[in-house]
Amino acid sequence: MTETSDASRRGFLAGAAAFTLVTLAPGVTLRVAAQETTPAGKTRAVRWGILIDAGACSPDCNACVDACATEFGLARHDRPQSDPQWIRKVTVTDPDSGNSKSFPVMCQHCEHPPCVDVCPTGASFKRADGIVLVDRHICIGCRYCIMACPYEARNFVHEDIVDQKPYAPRGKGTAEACTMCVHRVDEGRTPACVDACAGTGHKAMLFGDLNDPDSEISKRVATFGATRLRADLRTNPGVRYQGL
Amino acid sequence: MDEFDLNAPPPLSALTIAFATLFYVAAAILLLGLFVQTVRMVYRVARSGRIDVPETPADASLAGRAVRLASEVFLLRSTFFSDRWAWIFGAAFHFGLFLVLARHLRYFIEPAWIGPLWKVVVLVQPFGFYGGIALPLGAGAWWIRQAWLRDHRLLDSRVDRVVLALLIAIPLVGYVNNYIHTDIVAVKAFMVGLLTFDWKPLPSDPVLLLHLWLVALLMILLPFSRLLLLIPLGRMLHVPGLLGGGPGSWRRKSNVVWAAAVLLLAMLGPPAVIAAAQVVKDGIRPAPGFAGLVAGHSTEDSTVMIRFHPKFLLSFRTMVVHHGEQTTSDNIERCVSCHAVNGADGTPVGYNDPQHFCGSCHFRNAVTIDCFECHNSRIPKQEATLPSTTRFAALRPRASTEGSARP
Repeated sequence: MTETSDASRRGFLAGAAAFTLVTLAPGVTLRVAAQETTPAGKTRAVRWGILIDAGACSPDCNACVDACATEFGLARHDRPQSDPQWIRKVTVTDPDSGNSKSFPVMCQHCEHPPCVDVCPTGASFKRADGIVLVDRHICIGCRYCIMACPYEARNFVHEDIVDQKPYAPRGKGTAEACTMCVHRVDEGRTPACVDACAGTGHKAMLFGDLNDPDSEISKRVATFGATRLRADLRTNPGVRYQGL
Repeated sequence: MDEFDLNAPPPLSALTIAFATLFYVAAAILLLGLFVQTVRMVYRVARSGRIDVPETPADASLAGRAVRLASEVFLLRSTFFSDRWAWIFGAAFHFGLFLVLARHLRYFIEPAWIGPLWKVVVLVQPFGFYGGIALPLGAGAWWIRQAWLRDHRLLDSRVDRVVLALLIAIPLVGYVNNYIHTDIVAVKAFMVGLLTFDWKPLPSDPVLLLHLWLVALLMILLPFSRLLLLIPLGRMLHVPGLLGGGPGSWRRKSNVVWAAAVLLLAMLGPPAVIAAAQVVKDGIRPAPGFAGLVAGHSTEDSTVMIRFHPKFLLSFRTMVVHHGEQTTSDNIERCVSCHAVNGADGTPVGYNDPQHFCGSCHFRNAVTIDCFECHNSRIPKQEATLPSTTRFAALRPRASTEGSARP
């Protein structure tokens, strides 16, 4: 696992962030004790991941996509070219055997994300726990990340947006993608798509810490192995697939 | 909303009274001076039968002459053709000054007074910011060039030089104000209070007080300088020597100069002393220890929130988005939810509504924000009444923060 080689560097970064002084004005500082109040694993070497079992995923089921649209208020305008799409169902067919698989694809939350590499402003960034996000305060809407992503996971916001969800600010002119429901993860919950999948009974999606050898996701990856989409690009996604 | 009542009338301090008086006196002198100078100019034109502005070459029709005159007054036409560097620096100064004055309208005008025209005041704000950079640069460069050319003809009295120095110094002090986040809400209340004869307290911010004191000095001196006069004359700077027979003649009357100096000291001395005493008493703000930014911030010095809320919000942003702190506390959504104001339909009003907590103040002070292009500006109180944290509680002056143990 390439994550482990990164652990020492993360530990160093976590130590540096433990005591942060933010200068507000001359003579005024905001002191933040970061580490004690951090929910479990935020600055330690946690790697959030999702394991998707293509064998359990039903071609007719769209529950994860709908749950995502509901969670983030992704309004559709019947304009497929520009409508937001953070997670989509993909069907692949083996032309020889005719075997067909259906599974969801979203931001893969890569360990080495190309979107972060190409971002000219640093708006595209990876959190210490592996979740890849867009900082809309810095994003200038150049769309390099959309071009760079091999998974076509990023979207550009083309429409004015009103009444955003309080936990998910979105605005016209910026890039956006699946956040792995970071607001739910930080509260100790699982992403909306994973919840919805479990609700349908398919249980094709499993969320957990890939770096914790005792977590269910790690055990299943260790036992059955898992496929990384476009593994040749060595992005090492946090979203893994089984049964492809 | 009750606990955020910023208009509760505190007792007027000596500082407020001194500066209010100073500004009334300065405004009276400026207006009287402008009136006298205008009368003299009209008299001069009537007597000589001609206007001291180049009118040729121009179309002989009235419209042609008007256009020619306007190009002289607004574009400094003859200077453009006679002395290109003087025009470049002069134009930077004059257009910069115009934009700066337009930007400062927000401190003197309530949106309700001018209706839709308020949009112009909002629009001019960023231009005024850059105008304030052009102003001292243009004036300073012009002055240095004048000294370099050893041409003191255009600035022949001490008053002219002091006025020009003030015009350079005032914007520079103004930018310091910008940097230290002066409480402009209180400044506007003070200024509007002066206009409506309903005095409001003036903050004892040393940089602000210096800025205002220099402005008062400028207002008093301007009528005695040729820089006030609005009509340029060929290569001469404005109209020379209206306070005497010719350029600089009045300054040779030393008893007049002494009397003026004593009067000036009497007008400007007491406010300066009172301001200095008040600043020493209050200290360099923000002096009060600020315990509990989010929890109970209204009970502390309210000006801290007024002045520093953008910094707080960006700090939250860094904590929440970059460091992965809890997203459910200390963010702009929590501010918006707690400060939600319900409209007629019982749901919270949006940012563009004049009642909105953020919108009301930002609209009134012509400060444009784009927070709500991404963030929701109308979150009901119930949905997002979030647990308070005291994580940002330790806001103190740096001296007491550094070196102390972690909480």
